[in-house]
Amino acid sequence: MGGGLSSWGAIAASVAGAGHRARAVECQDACAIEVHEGALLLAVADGAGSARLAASGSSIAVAVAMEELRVRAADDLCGARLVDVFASVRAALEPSGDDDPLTSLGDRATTLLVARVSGDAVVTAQVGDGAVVVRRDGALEVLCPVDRGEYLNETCFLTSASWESELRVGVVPAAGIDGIAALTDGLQLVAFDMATGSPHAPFFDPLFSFASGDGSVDELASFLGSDRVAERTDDDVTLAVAGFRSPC
Amino acid sequence: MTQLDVSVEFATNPEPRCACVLLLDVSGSMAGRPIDALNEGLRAFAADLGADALARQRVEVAVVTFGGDGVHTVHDFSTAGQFEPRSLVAGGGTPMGAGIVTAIDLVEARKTQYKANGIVYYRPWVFLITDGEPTDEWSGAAARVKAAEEANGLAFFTVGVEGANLDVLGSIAVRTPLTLQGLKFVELFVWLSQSQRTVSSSKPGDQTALPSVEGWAAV
Repeated sequence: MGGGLSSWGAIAASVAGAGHRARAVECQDACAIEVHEGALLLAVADGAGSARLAASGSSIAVAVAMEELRVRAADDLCGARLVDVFASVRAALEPSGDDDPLTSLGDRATTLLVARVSGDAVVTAQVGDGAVVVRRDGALEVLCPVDRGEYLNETCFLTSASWESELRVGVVPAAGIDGIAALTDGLQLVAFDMATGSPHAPFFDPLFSFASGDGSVDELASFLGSDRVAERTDDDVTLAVAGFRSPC
Repeated sequence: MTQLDVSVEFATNPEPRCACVLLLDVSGSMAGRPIDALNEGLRAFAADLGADALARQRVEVAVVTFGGDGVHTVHDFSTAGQFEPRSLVAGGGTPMGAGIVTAIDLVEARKTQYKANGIVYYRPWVFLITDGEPTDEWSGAAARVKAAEEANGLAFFTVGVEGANLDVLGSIAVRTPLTLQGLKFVELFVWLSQSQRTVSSSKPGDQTALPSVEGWAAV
């Protein structure tokens, strides 16, 4: 949630998809959003359904990524530093002494997407799918859009050997931006026009108003878990969204 | 009903599609109980897929047979919800090579249609079931399978019923052939349906974990 004095209203929630709920599988998405020292920080992650510890993977990735972003809240987050952030997260996904001896890094396979809005810039970085959308002067933009593969159900994970070459980094000016949303792929069919890849404004605009207004995490989670969403996707769904409060 | 349920509007996209070609041997050796069991399996496949609200809209099934009077696309692609298998009749030789080429051509044409219509899709499957070996030239077909698998163009699975030449199947398919226990076609097709349901609901990025084959495949 946003800090009391900040100008961003920020909310995030992940909800298990209908398919997982039906099989009593826990949610394998994770997310966080907060305002820290004036910077808006967010992270979303989507644990691979085939990975044994997917839920652990995505939640560790988000927790470690947020800590890294907090520590570096004032840094100039150039590409090299973002590689460091992702390398730290990846290291935290390695099996620990608490894991059973057969655990491998791939058991925590997850995507990761982070964003920071501070000063004059929006910095984003991601490995795997998911998307960040901003609203600038009323128009929506997708930041570092995914070069999607041929198939819907294939992407890369932070745990893969080639993660560094898959890391996509974007920096855009913050001027005019009054909304930002990050989502995992579960919502893509309702949030984007898939043929063109463009964000669907009637999906995002009310969410930005909701975040900058009186939105609550409970209400966001209730929306994400609604039948209306479940009719369109079986997958876990995640949304981290922030709206800028106009000074009054 | 919350504020968001009222205010947030969804993009309208065509359902993502998951193409699945059943490539079935209807040669003479399948006559009798095997073809009856295969037909029963197809009905179970249609029923199981049809029971899944998302799969019935997303999985697209086509049926290609090879047998005595050649290769036939007996059911061109339709969504699983509209798949009504018709009973297959067995007889004649085993033009498997020509059948494979037809199946791969069908998949490639379907993908072209998906792209032209802005439809996103999952990796297509071809599922070959036979109790014999090709009676036609099959090296070209095997090369097509290999090239398609290497290009990640599809996943080509083979299942041998008792009497199948697994060595030849192994030469055709990149993936190891599976052997059907007895005539457990129903179990096989329910597994296939469950697999397609899994694939068609999985998140992008998933190397989807398929159900175990132990209910129907011999080790």
